[in-house]
Amino acid sequence: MTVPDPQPPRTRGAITTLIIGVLVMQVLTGFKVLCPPRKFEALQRFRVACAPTLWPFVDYNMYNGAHYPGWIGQKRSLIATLDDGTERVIEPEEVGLNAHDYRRWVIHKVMDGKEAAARDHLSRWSGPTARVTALRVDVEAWQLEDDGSLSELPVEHGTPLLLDGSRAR
Amino acid sequence: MSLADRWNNYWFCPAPLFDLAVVRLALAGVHLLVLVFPYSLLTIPPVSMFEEVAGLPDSSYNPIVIVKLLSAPFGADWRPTADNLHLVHNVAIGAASLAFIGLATRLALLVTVACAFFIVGHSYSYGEYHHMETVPLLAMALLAFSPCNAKLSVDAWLRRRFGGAPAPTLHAMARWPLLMVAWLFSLIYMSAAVCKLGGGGLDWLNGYTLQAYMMQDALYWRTELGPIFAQEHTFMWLLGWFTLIFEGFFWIVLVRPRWGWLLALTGISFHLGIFMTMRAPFAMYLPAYAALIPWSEWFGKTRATS
Repeated sequence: MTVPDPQPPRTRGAITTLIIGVLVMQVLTGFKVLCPPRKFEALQRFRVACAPTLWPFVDYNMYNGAHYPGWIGQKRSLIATLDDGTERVIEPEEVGLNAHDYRRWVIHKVMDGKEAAARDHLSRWSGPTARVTALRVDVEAWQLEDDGSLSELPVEHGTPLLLDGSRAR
Repeated sequence: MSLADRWNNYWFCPAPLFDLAVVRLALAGVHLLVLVFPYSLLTIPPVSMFEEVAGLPDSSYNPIVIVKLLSAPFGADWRPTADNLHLVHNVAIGAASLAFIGLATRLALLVTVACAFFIVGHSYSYGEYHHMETVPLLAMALLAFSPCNAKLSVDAWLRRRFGGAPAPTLHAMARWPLLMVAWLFSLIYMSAAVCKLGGGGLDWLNGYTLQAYMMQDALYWRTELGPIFAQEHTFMWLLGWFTLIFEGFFWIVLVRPRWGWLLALTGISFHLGIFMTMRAPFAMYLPAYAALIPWSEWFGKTRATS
């Protein structure tokens, strides 16, 4: 059977309104008509609804600046000093976290000297059973060079957060 | 031909119901997957943050319009608790399951989308927001107003079982939702390209820019592939051009719908590549690409009228 169902004009009218409404909303938000960038001073009076006010209609201004040689990228890692003097990197998955939560809940807490929070996450570490005497955050960095290569910069060692030697398992 | 006729011919030209059903299966299926296994496609799923965001002070809660609308029955000052959010999440799982199997399909789609708007919108009511859900959620919302349950659904089986007429192969309301997905993709990618050129100018294409972004995200998310590719300046330069051309000219699909499958394949590769190197979780866009593929032709059901 290939005959289409006849649609009453009212249905088409309603769908037409929906189509136009959705497309207009996407154009207004996507092209920042309702939220002109601040560099256009004369247009600031039209800055009435910036994202995410009208979500799920939003702009898509991610990754929108240019970068040049000299840019530096950093990677922060948590280093555990064990009671035998050896050091181990604690990876996010070893404390049951993804990279985002690892950074928020572990790296930042250790950098801020929050011993209780650090100890809490350390209790979930699936690493060696040796006792941890200190934690610190090391920063590895890479710099973008003129020839397009990424050169590794010296590692910055953070201030150790000394623990009392017991590992809260 | 009048303007109204042109409009009707464009949006309401009879098209295969089978294509619409495949898109419903893809969208509802992937949405259900993300609801049940939040970390399968998302890096920071809203469901993982219910307790955290609900525990923030009231002063940090600034509900966006869609959340205000959906919360209106509970009063203007109502703010959901973590338990409320978990309840909505469970309702969403039930509704998405029904939408997937096609039972009470259109209502189930509306409930699924309303729950998602509430859950995701709530998580974006604290300042930070992302884009990864927009296209699939809008597509599902539009499908709810179409005969997406006429094929490959329990609804269709029940209709036949109880003596109803089988659904036609083509339907005047089967084309507009799929066209809308193509329009949304085109507008969204175009605005992304405009933002890149507006923010960085032609320097965005210098190769260093994409190297920096890829390295930055790869270091943050600790991906293994990102740093390998980010070191290749020439490749990044080419990839920068490819990105802008792809985003800026995706609208070609609107004038050359036959190229839809090619653009879908390119888009899927594009987003999978970004996910593997930078962990940008746009994998939720992938089922929406199903709207660009002539499934019924591929499966030999019928040829869509043009």
